[in-house]
Amino acid sequence: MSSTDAPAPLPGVPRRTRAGRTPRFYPPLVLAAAALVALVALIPLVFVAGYSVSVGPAEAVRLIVRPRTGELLWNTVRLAAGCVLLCALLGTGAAWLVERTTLPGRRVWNVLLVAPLAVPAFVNSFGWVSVVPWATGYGGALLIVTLSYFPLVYLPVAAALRGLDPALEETAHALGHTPWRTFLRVVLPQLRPALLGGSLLISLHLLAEFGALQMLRFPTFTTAIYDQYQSTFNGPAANMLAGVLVLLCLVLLLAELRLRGRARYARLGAGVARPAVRARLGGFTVPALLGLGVLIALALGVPLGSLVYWLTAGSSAAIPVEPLLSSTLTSIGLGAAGALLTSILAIPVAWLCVRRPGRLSVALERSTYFGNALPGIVVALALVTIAIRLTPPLYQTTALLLVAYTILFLPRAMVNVRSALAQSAPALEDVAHALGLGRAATFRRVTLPLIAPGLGAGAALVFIAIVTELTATLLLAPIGTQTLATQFWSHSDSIAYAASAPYAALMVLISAPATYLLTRESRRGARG
Amino acid sequence: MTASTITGLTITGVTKSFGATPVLMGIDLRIRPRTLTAVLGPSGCGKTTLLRLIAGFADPDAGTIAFGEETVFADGRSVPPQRRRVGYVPQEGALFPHLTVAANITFGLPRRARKTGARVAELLDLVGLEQRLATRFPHELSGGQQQRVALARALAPEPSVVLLDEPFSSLDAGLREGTRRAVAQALRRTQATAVLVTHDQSEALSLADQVAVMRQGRLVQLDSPATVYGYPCDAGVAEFVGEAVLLSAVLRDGRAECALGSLAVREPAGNVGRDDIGDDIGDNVGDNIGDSGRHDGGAPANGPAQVLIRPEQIRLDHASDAAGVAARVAEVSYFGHDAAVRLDLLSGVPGGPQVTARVSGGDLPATGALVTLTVTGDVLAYPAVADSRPRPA
Repeated sequence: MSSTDAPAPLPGVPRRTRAGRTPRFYPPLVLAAAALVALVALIPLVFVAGYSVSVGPAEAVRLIVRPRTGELLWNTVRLAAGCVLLCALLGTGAAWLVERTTLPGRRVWNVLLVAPLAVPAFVNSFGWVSVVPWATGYGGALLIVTLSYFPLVYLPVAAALRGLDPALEETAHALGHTPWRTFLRVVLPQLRPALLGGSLLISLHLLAEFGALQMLRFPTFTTAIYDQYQSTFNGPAANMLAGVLVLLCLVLLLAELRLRGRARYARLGAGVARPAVRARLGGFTVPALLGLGVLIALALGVPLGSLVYWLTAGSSAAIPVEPLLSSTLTSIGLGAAGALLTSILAIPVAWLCVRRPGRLSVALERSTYFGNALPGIVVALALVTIAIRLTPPLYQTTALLLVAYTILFLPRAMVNVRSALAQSAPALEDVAHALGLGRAATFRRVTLPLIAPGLGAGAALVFIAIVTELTATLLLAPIGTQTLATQFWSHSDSIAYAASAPYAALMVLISAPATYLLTRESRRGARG
Repeated sequence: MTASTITGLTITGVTKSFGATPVLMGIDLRIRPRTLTAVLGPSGCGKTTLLRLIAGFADPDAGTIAFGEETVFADGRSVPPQRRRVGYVPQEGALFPHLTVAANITFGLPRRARKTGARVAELLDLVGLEQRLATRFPHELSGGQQQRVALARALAPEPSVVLLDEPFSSLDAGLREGTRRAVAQALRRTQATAVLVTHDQSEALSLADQVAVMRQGRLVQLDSPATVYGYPCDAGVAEFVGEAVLLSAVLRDGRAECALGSLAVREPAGNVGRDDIGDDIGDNVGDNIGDSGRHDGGAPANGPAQVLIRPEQIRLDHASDAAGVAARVAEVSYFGHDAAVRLDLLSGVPGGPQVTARVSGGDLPATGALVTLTVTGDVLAYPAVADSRPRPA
């Protein structure tokens, strides 16, 4: 062989395209896989948009512009606004007490303040309604969703407070500001990304919330869509309401995306190791402890207490072991399969996004992100309609249910896989290639072992989410498939509180480890 | 390492742009088997890109790359990195954090060799590490040890060429010297062909058989370390490879008249003082240098010029009445083993040229003292342009 002008034939080496010469080269198989995942994730959105267009403007206006829609909109907005406001106050206050004061028992409080996340909102509302029957309507709904979702503000704000450079506050003190003024003028502006991020997450959760609000008889878009679907079975009205709901979600999602860009900037100063000096509570210690105690009692004590009450009250009637066991196995099986599928599908998209950042890979990653904003009811409705029209054999199958789970929970797996990939240096893959390993072998021997912890954490979160998922499961589960959530729902729907309690208790037990995982993740996030 | 696996490296007309930004503008470089070549240049000159093109992590826009007789890149066809048999030592080692030292070293070997760990002892010995480190994990090693393991891992599959990307830049000064020596020794014992990318001139000069100086995407000089330091091709290279005093001068009959007196002008390197490597590769370099004027033949025989004096050539005499050029000490930077003395020349116009002399640490003048300067040895002359950097070819 010579190294002159005529290139020596290189057996088996494909001619690379122009793109192949730049670092932006997308491996075709990975790209195809990622594109497929993104397409699946986009199904509900495309369906809703397509449906709205096909209905035509006149019919759409007729379906949407009704007093009922206005009522739903008002209910949804005032619930979201009230809940976000209360959660911001409670979450920030609790975070400040735990992270920045001499409050006794801070570690225990930290776990207790995150623990409400282990109780699904519909179990929480079951706990309240079954012992406090008058807790319905706007007041009841506001109370219960606030108690369920305030940890979503507490977690990011606590992490932000932990990462905040105390030198900023010390400078403000040195410039003559009182602690209160320092908090308002220095600390609070720094907390804004965390606070807004948590608030948006709560809003998205509220738009999607079905079980809790249905039980409290407080109609919002999601519950109305479900009722429409049940009564008219896949009527145009349900789909048009879904369209409005998706629009609301997209507005929030856009806000969240804009915020994410800025949040990265805010995290720049997070490398500070020096802990802040804690404010001395002094005489306020007892009121602070009392306040947190009441909060935890309402958020954890009431639902758990009422579960225990109904469990013991139900012991007169023997606990139905067989359906309990079978639905537990079904839930765990669906959760495991869904978690595995979702994690595997997250890998190609995350890899492209981290290793080949470009317009295309970012677009693919963003498409999977819509699951965060799409209520389970919308995803389920889209899949039901499409399956009935295009692929009838898929309707009422476990496969379709797993697709719905994937669309809904892909973002949870993505976040973990992406950050794990970002932490493993690309030089490691270069070294493996130089040592003679192809792409597949490099993935198996280097990349996979390195991202395994992140992959596992993501899979665990998806597993928990599937076990406690209610809406999509109600609509999509094949006939005869009963999960813990659907069993719980069918019993509590008929006000058989004692019968539904064991199912709820099992869901809480299964969720608890993931909640612990969340507190650990947030600690690590603040340190990194 | 068997002799047959080691090859030289030939790079011809390699160009590379990132978007609209040209990074490499026609690199020609021939590296003989079993030599260590340092690619030296400031950050952003394209040297790491060149290394990544050789490894196959990215492909050139044009040109050819060949290992010995085997072309690995030509005409848009590229052998993927896993089939090029290069050893790659990245910055900060990049050991696999989930594997022990032994597993890292045997990573590129066939499965059976990985199982038995057969060559671990031999390779640890080669890079001067103790055997007990074999079971450690990377985070339990010092930075220098990590770099040595990274080299052992790169050498294990007996690569044709070993590529080192600023392997010592992340180490602190104490570890750097020892690690450098161990790495150079291991490379020489295996007789590997090695390319070391660095921005540290002392590293390049002390380790390499030949130094390739890069600037703004071009290869400007390729010579032995002694030639690069003694006969830099232009004033820019002179300043980059060591401290330089550049004074304007007038050449007449082989002597330069400058602020430091009448000095003998050194014969251009093309005629004397260049070793065989320099001769061997001189032709390759010619194209890169373009009309910037390699100093041989570039400097005018008579007339205005610029002369290069190294600070260690300037001798200080404390007696202000000794023969030489009078100067006042402006500033002394003390380094322990020696010191750099900044001097204002009194002979010239006020605010005239300042020169730096390197003197041994034991005998330092006070700031403000009057001294006399003499220059030992001959000096190198360049054309008298304000900026002697290469013009676009």
